[in-house]
Amino acid sequence: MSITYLEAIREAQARALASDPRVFIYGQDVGPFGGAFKATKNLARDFPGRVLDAPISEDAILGSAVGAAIGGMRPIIEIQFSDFSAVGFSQIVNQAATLFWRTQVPCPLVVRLPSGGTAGSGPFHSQCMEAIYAHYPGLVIMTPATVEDAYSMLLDAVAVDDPVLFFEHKFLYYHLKAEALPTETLPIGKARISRIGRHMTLVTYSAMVHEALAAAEELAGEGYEIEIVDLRTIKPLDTDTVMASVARTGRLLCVGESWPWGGTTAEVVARVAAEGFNLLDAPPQRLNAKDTPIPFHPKLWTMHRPTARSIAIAARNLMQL
Amino acid sequence: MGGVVGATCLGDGATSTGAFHEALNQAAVEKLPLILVVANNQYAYSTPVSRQYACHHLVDRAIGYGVAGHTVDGTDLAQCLQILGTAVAAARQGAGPQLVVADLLRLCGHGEHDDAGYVDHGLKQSPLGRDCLAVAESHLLNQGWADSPQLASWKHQAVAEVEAAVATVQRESGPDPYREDWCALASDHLRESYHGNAD
Repeated sequence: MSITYLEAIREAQARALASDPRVFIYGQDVGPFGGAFKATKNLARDFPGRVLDAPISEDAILGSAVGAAIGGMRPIIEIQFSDFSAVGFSQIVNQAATLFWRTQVPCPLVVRLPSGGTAGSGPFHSQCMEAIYAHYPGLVIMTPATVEDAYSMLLDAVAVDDPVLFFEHKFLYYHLKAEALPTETLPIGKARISRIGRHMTLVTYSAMVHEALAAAEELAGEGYEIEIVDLRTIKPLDTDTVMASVARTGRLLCVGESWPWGGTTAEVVARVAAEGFNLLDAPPQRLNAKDTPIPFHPKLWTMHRPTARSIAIAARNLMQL
Repeated sequence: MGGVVGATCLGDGATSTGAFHEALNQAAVEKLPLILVVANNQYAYSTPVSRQYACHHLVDRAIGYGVAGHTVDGTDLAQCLQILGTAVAAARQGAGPQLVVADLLRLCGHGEHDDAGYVDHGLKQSPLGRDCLAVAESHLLNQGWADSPQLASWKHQAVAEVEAAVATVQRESGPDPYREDWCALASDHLRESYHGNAD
């Protein structure tokens, strides 16, 4: 048996619905249709009255989820594409994120955000918005890179008493497979060393983990052993694991699919530069998408975001510094 | 700018967005010469109108915002021309925004990946499920404005035009990422040259 990243997300939701009567799912086309990507396939049938189609009203969808969370429910919201969350931005950052701080009332809601690029999806169906939300206090930001993490982190997200934004990467939905669902996992906020190495630390998350692994494989043939740190959650950010790895390797490259101005890669570089400057044998580097909207044409898209090829080039350059 | 009107098209799904409600209210307050044409094709992707709105008819939205409302059989081109003509004339005369709701049924998927298996069979058999092109053709024939050979020739002409455009595009090489200037600003002097390490 094998299970895809997308199926793992569906299975996690089925388990959450089965094990906790407070859980319900709300979003556009998530009901009988099973979602635009089929992440809620058959769930409306299996859990009658608990998987509900929403009108095209992200502001109201997210606002009602905040209310439901205050009222003791555990809503899982599907925003059809993470790009559309901008329409409900205020409910997330002004209401959900501040609620506990303002009132001491927890806001346990999960927002699933199909995220990131696939060829031909263009500027409104490809964005990586995790860094924008990570900027706001009061939110947990998950960016799973593996089938196992997609499953276990989504269950963790439902169990947490705070608003969790769950950025699931569309590029991984169908082709990323695992043999079985995990029975144990790392705690929330703990990074994973995806590949051990001693010449360079490559910090990344979500789909870029796989581009980084491919680049590391290529560089291994040239004698470079790259250590890859998969952040898993970008907030909380596991600075300790990053710093320990840099202490071993002396070099840092941080890779993200989102834009270069600010963001996760800048945050990692800033922390390492500020707290671990003496560990570095070379200036810390980072690699991001280009500073333009996401191109529609596949030829441009391939060059817009980091790939195994551009990561390998950046890593080679860093090894020469 | 005398006589100029603005026109926009949207679907039943978009009427659930805050932007639609804010725009309708704003246009009403400003008495803008704006025509909003809603193609109510009964489904927003898979979601039927029963999960989209609870008013009796979408045109009822007009009352709440204090704008004129019109309904039209969206499968009937002749009727659409007539109602749109009325709405545009009213807007030109200073009567403010005009909400036109055209009822029809989407006869294909939301996208090429979508087989539209969720569309209710009864709706397909109803007058809403009529093919607007077929309705328009029979209208032209009934009025004696065109005969069958003429219609066939127009169709042939349209198909040839589209095929020629497709052929032209397919011969083009597509954008070259190495020649792309990767600038999202119109003000070239304000661009940042920094792209992380991506270059």
